[in-house]
Amino acid sequence: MSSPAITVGATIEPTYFGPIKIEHLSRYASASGDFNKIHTDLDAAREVGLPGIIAHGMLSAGLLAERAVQFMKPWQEEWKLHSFQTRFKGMVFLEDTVGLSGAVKSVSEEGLRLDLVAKNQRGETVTTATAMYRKN
Amino acid sequence: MEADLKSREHSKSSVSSEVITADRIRAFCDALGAECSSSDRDCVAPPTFLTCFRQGELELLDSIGLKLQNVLHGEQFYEFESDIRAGDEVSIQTELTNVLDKKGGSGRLCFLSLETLFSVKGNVVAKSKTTIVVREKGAA
Repeated sequence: MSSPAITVGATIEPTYFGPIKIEHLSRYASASGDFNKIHTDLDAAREVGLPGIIAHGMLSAGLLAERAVQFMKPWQEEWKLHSFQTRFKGMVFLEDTVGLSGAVKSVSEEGLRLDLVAKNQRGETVTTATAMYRKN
Repeated sequence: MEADLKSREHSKSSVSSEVITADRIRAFCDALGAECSSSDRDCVAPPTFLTCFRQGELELLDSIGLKLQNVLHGEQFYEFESDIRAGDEVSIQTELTNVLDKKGGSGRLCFLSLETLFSVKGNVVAKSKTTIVVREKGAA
């Protein structure tokens, strides 16, 4: 059985990651090899003028990518991820919770575009992403 | 600042090589709270996994006197040709493809584009493009 066709406007309902703790950032640092101390050490963050420890931008990007992967699973035989672009709009701080959501922006024979957004608990956009799929 | 950096356009990092292991993919998935296939053979890297291999970017930034904690990561782009799986030996090389100087409200900003090619057995499997923003004061 194939899944019903995917259509413009189909949405990824928000899921939440957080509140973000130092353990999340240490684990991501080890897994990604990004040991920039501004993500784990308050003094290091303050030294470069930040008000506090910030999460890795690529952590939010990775969370959005994972949402895209899960959402597209029913259509993975039909659509293959071709590109993933992410923009860092704002910083994510310790204790922040990010809400991850998305929507199908366009579908055609050439490709499918899925737009994703991560917002903090104040509703501010912190990271956006666009996943482009091509027909398998 | 931009005059110095501009002259470094098209400089390339050395080529490095990494063997992708299922353990490494799993650790990355775990850190994202992501699902991950359990068998080693089927272990496919998630979309942003290539961020684990920024050594070419770091080498180039280092060569122009920039430290990661003094620059901003503005954008990240990946394009995929084929899956990257556990067991693949990936070779990695980064080029500083573009240096763009912009006047912003709060002073001058410099945008660096770093493009990395990831290859397995001589075939490009993925490309990444990283946009780094350097504030004038942050430049070495």
